[in-house]
Amino acid sequence: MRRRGPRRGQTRVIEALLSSIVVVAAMGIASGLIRAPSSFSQRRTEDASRFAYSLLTRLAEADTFDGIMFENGNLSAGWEDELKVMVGSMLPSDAFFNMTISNCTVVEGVPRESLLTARGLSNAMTPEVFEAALGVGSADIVYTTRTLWILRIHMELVYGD
Amino acid sequence: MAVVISVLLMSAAVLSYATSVSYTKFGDQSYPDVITAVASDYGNFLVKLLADFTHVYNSTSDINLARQKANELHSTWILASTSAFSGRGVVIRPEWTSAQIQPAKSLYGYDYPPKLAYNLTKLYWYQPQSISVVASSISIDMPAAGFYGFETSFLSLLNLTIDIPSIQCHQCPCHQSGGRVSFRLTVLKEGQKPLFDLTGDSFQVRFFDPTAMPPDPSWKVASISSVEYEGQGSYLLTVEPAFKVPSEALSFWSLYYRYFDVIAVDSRDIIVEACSYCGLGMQVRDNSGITTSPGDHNVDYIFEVLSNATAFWFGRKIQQPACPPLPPIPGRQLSVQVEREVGGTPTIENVAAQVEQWEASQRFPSAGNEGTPSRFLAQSRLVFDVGFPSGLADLVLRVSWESDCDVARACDAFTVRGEGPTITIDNGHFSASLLNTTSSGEWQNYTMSITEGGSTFQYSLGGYDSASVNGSVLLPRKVPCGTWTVIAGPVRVLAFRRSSAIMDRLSMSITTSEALHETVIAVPMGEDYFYWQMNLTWKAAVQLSNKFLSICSVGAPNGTDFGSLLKSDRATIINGTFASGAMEHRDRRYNLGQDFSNWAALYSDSLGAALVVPGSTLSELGTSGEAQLWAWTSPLAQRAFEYDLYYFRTSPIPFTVDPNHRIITRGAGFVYGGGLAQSPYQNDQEWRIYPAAPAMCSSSGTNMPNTYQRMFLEERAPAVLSVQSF
Repeated sequence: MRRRGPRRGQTRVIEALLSSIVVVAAMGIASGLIRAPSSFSQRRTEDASRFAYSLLTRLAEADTFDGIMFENGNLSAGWEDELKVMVGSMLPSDAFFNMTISNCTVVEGVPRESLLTARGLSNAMTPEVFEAALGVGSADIVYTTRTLWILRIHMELVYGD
Repeated sequence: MAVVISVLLMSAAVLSYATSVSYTKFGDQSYPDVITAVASDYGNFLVKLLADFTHVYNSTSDINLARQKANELHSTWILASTSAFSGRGVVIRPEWTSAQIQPAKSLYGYDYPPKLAYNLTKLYWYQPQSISVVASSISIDMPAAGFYGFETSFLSLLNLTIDIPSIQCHQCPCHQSGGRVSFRLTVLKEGQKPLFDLTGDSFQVRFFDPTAMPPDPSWKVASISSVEYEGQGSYLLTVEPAFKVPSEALSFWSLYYRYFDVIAVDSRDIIVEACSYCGLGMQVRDNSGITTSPGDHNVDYIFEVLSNATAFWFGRKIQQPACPPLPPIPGRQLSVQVEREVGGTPTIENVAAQVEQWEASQRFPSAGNEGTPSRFLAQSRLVFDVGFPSGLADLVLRVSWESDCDVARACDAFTVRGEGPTITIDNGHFSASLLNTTSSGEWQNYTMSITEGGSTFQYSLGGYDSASVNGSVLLPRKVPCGTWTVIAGPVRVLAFRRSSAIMDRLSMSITTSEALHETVIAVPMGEDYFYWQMNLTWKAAVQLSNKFLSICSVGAPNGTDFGSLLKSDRATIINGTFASGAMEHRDRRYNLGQDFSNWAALYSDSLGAALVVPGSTLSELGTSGEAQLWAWTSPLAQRAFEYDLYYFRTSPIPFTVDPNHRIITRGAGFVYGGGLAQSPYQNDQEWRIYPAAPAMCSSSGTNMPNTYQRMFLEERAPAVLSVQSF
């Protein structure tokens, strides 16, 4: 005579156990995929972002953007080169940045951004510097000039190897 | 088994949490940085917004324009910032702060009301303590990061306080016209923090120049000799005022040096403007001698005050002591109050005031009254109505300036673009029509007609020469014409024209070679009178075919049966009845038409119109020796009183005018309730005998003109007894 009941219960427990193991394994794999490739690159990204934000904030508080970019209320000639040199001088020698500045306006209730840095503002020789970097930090600020231009300033920063 | 399952579930929870933390932690920029970036620039933006706001207001005097721009910029910043951080899901909500930035206080004897920041930007300027302020708060949420409820408030201000007791003049003993003025002021920013980096370029000080004559500006920027920082935001300024004629500036060193205006600009580019005084108190006396009963008309004058505080009444200067000038602030900030006692309790009432722009000479209104805000300068006039209630001979006027730049007390008069042949002015009491006569076909027998209660009275100003046509006479043959410019405000309407156009009714043509005429007619709002001034300047030795010149007249249609006039003894009144056909009732040719004085009136038992001429016009009439107050009924039974410089002659006498004789006449007219003349008698000398048009012994229609004519007489002009600044 066969006793079927207890065996069916054991199977279900095993199934539940296996399911739980599968769920935990899946979450572990997913968690690993979400994380940065390595703790080293994560730290670099974090540091670069904080440094970029700190730098932009210092420049804004000192009204550097006003002083370099504007003359008599209008964009001054050669401001991009001057700003590039200024920002570059404030970075470690192995750091590369890429900065974009847009003028934010509202036309008939719709926000518009017009890019002021058409030529790009970077001290990197080639864009590959950012593609190859282990950690790219970035920061955004909004800066209002004396002539009440509202600028959105975005900066990406990487450290060289 | 249960333990194993529990461990697995706990592991799942821990992994979920760790994943979430990693996601947040290793984002490009963490939410505190984003929030700090937004909030930091909001504070920066507000400071620059306030700077721009103060500059726009300082240059335009238009607070609405400045506020509109500020609000638009604020909206733009919110939208732009939200858009800039849209990838991070930033939600920004601004909210105006409502806060008291300064409690009510008393400083240098002046009581300041509390200063509130209830709008994005507020300016409390033009008093010894002045403030520019911006205040707002924002809340920031980042739903994507699970962050809610960040709130922060911003307040930035610039506070300028002039230390009034420190004002000193240092007149140079070697050169009496030169010297310096020194005074202290304190400049603070938010949190009562002192500003210590201001220099001479940060200040602009303007003083009144008593030696300046138009068109030279009466307020001049002083050169700053030195600025000494004394700590705690206190500066000692020494300035050297500028004068048009330094050698004639002695009055400055005894009076005017205490009254100045300071503009300070800090390193953030925020402007604040302060004056060293808050207003003027003027004790004014009514000398009309009119005693009215309760319920009667008030004695209501139209006063005008210029930038140098010269007061005018009905367009003429009145007696006053030397007094401080009105500061060069936006005219809308000026405020006029009357101190009265009501039931034994002193009360202060605001009265309506308007700011008009006149030509630099202050002799003729400017056509450029666009109604736009502007500073009160040498071309400006502050016009207001001063009513002396029954039995009150003295009252105190306070001309002050509002510190809150959002509060406009005085209105800017604006030019009314009248089109068509007729301009209508309704002052709430009567309706007046003026003719825009630009061609000979538009001739009407009046300059201005007044309609009230269904009756119309016609006033004519100026006219000369006569001509006979088919048995009738054109009187006058030539009349001033042209188009009117009208400026309007809550106190009065001014209609004025300067023209060389003279219409010849005989040839039905317009000539411009004979005379220049300048006419200003003022119609006060809510009053029953108007007044005018007319200057007639001959352009050449014009040949008149008949020696006849009319100064002014009042006419009424058939039905206005009574007429009264004051004789030259200024005590006797002649009353008469008008006829049903052509008749000269008082005429220099037939009776004592030359015996007249300040007024004449036409009336029925329900309505009347008076014509008043002051002593200056009587003097003008007296220069010819051929003047008359002509009372006549026309062939169409129109009635009229007419002041003529040269009476009419039936047999024409050619006459060449003296081109050097400038005829300046003033007068007033008013409508009233009329009256009834009674007890006829016949006296050809007083009122020429005519069937059914006799003279009358008495009349109930003379009291009003005989009483209220005094309002317009120079010898009874009101006087400013004293002026004190506060």
